[in-house]
This record gives sequence, structure tokens and C-alpha cells, in this order.
Amino acid sequence: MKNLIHLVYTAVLGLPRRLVTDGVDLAAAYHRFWFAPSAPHTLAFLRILAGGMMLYSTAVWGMELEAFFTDGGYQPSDLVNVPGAPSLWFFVPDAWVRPVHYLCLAALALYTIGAGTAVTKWLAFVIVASYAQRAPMATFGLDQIASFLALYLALAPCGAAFSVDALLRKSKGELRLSSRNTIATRLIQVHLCVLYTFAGLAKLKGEAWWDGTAIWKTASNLEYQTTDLTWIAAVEPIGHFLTHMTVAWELSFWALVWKPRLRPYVLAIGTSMHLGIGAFLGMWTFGLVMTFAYFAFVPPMVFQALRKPSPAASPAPETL
Amino acid sequence: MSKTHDAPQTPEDRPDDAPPNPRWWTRCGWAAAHLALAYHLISLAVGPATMPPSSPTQQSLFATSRGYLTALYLNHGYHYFAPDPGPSTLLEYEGTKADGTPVAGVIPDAEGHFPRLLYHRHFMLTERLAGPAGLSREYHAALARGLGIETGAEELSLTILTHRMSEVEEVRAGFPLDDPATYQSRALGTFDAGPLDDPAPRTPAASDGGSR
Repeated sequence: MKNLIHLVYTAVLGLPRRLVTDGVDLAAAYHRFWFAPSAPHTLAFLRILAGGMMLYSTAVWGMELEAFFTDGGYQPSDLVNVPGAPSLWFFVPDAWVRPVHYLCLAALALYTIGAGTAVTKWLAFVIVASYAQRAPMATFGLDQIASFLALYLALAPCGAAFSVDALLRKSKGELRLSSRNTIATRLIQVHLCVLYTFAGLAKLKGEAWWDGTAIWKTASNLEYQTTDLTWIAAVEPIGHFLTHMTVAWELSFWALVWKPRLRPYVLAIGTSMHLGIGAFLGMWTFGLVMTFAYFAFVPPMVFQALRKPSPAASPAPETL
Repeated sequence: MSKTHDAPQTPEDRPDDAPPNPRWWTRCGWAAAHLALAYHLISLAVGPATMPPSSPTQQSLFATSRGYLTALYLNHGYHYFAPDPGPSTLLEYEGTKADGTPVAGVIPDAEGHFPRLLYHRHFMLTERLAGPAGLSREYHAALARGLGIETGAEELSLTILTHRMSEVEEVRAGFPLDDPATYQSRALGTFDAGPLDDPAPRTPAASDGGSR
């Protein structure tokens, strides 16, 4: 009895102290999660992929620039200019649309190859967001993903590796670890978690994602499909399975992707889904840019192996 | 975490990256960084959470993030193919060029709009017609002018086509996905498709059409 009283007494008196130490530990772990310095290689690799997609997407805008970006076209500025949604295009007279577009392409090309990245990374975000904010009636998931990738990449020294800047740098091999690399990487990772969670939750509002017909409805949409998928009508359970799996995967992504052993499987399923969207629904740009974002889950050391070994190079811890 | 349950954290326990004795302004800097991060993360979740239907509490929370999300182009719902994959909305046009040559077609045009991304840009323009923009005369007139730039037409008659997806049973019965019974049309009227000088539509809104 005396021992029991002593145990309870100790537990009660020790609780505040334990809460404090746990809180301190948690805060330290949270701080390290977001700010522990890491190497730039993951983001540098991602810059090349995302920058290439931004360049391509912007080049395609240019094929019908006057129709999409002038007041005499599909989207007059007085119709689409939402207060607080800035775009450089709202300041560009129609006569200057072409020259400004070519300057944007040049900036994105420099960004992709990593030239003048300290400036071009911010230009890339401004350009991608500006095109999207000026032409909101013609945007879709591609623009959303490309824009947040550009924003987060701009927070980090994403031109420090795999870039013209790195080639021109006098002090070869002196790659500094930076908290900015970690926070940018984490923001991309967490943003993906938020995106998939709400994509999954939104699907729960719909009947087709419950009765298993959503994949059929998507696959049988003539305007989307690029490959005949009507064979699914003959094997309905496949459509049902893919429907339920899509929802389950999206809703569990945020929890499972942080487990190192499960991560490859989670990302492999996502890659299959997005490449399937590209192959069967013709949205290669969206499917690819989503897959590019997955590289944020690859530790920098994997990409460091791609570089020529340099004895002076700083070691880089894993970001996960 | 359990390692330090019984003892306060010592300097030796600190991570290597932590400075030994950060100055007060460094601590303030980190605090500001964490506050900014927290605001960003909350905003990131509040944005899609406030897509209708949403509670007044969500909406009032969103009011503190709306400007931030909008300015950074982060204000999205991420409702891909949700709540349900819906029918496609297309725009049929017909008109004439200045020299009298007839012009006709549908956007998006799977064969005419290449590469595929350009097709999707046009598809998004017409998909908006399924929402409030479908009732906007200004948007209809703008679509006509955009088409005027692309086709050289001076005047265009526009018709919204809604293409529902075929049911499994219909496909099994041998009906093609582009079966005429799966289309519905709604005439929008005739619009000036020339340069911006006269942007107003020439005719009032037409009544809904029947099946195509």
C-alpha cells in the first residue's frame, strides 16, 4: 500500500516535469524537421524537372498568346482580374505581349539550367503565377503544382548544384548545408500531403467514388481519354477496385509516406496513378509534374552520387 | 524522446546544427520563422477546407488567409475529378470570315489543338461553362472574340454542348461513346468575333436547345 501511494505520489509530482521535457523534446524535433540544414541536390534536381515543365507550359501558352492573354481574347482582364491576385500580365499592354512572353521564356530557360538562379528562381515563380492568374479560365492542376513548386524552390538555394551557377562557382565543392533547403523540401512534402488529403476528402462527397463507378466515368469521358478504355465495362470489378484504391491511397498518403519502409510503395502507387492519367487521359503535363514533386522525398545524398565526387564537398544528411 | 525524460536537456544533447548560445535576436528570428511557417501551414489547409460546403467558423478562419493564398496563387480546392467525375462541356461555333468563308468547329478540338496541353487549355475554357460562367454573357462574348483571333471569323454563333458519359450498360449494348443521345445543346446566340471595338453581343441570349 505504501509503495502504491509512493508510486502515485511520484507520478503525480513528476507529471509536470515530464510534460515539460516531452514538450521541449517535441519542439526540438519539430525545429529539426523544418530547419536542420541539408544539401541542395534534391531541390536542384527538382529545379531542372519543374523548370523544364514550366518552360514547356509557357511555350505552349505562346502558341495562342493573343487569344489567351489579350483583352480582345478569351479572357479580358476586366473579366478575370480578381482583386489581390497579382499578375505581371495585367500591366502589359496588348502590343507588348509577345516581347514580354519571350523574356519570360528566356528567364525560365535560365532558371532550368541554373543560370543566375538567385534572381531567376524568383522570376520563375512570378512568371508561372502570373500566367495562371491572368488566364484563370484555362488553368488546371498543372498550374497549381508548378506554381507551388516554383514558390518553394525559390526559398532555397536551388541553383547551388546541377547548374551553370555551380559550374561557374570559383570555390568548387564548397556546397554549404542550409536550413533553407530543408524548409523548401518539407514544404513541398507537406503540401503534397495537404493536396492529396483534400483531393480524397472531396471525393468522399461524391456518389461515384462510393459506388465504384468513378474510374469508369473518368475513363469513358471521350474528351479526356486518349486510349480506348471501354473494355472496363466488361470487367467492372477492375473499375471498382481502382476507384476505391484511389480514395484510400489519397486519404492515407499523409500518414504512410512518412514511414521509410512504406514510402517507396506509396510513391510507386502515386507514380502509377499519375502516369496512368498521362497515358489514358492525355494529361501528361499534370501527371508528370505531380511525379516530379515526389522527388522531394528522395534524400540529397542519392543525387549527390550523380555528381563527380569532390573531397571538399560537405557531407549531406538525409532530409527524412 | 524517452532518452531525456528523467533529465533536463543538456548542451551535449543539442543537435549539432544548434548554436551553443543563440543571441536573443537569433531566438526572435527563429520564433518569427516558426510563426510564419505556422501561418502558412494553417492557411494551406484552410484554403481547400473552406470550399463549399463549409462552416461559418471555417469561413471566418479563411478570411485571415484569403489574401495571402490568393496573392501566392495557393487558393485551390484540389477537387480533382470530385465530388463526381462530371460530363464534359464543349463549345460549338459556326460563322463566317470577313471574305465570306464559312468557319465551324468545336472547342476543344482533339485534332486541331496540338500539343495536348493546348487542347486542355481550350477544354478548361469550355469546362467553365458548366459553372456560373455558363450564364455570363460577357464570358460568351469573350469566347467568341478568342475564337475570332484563332479562326479569323468576324461573327460566330455559339452553342454549348454537354456530353454526358455513357453508362456501362450502354457501352455493353454497343453504343459508342459519342452516341448523339449523349449530347445536349444550348444555343447562346450570335456574337461579334472581330477585334475589340464592338465587344457587345449582337443578339440577346437564346433559349435552351434540345438534344443533339
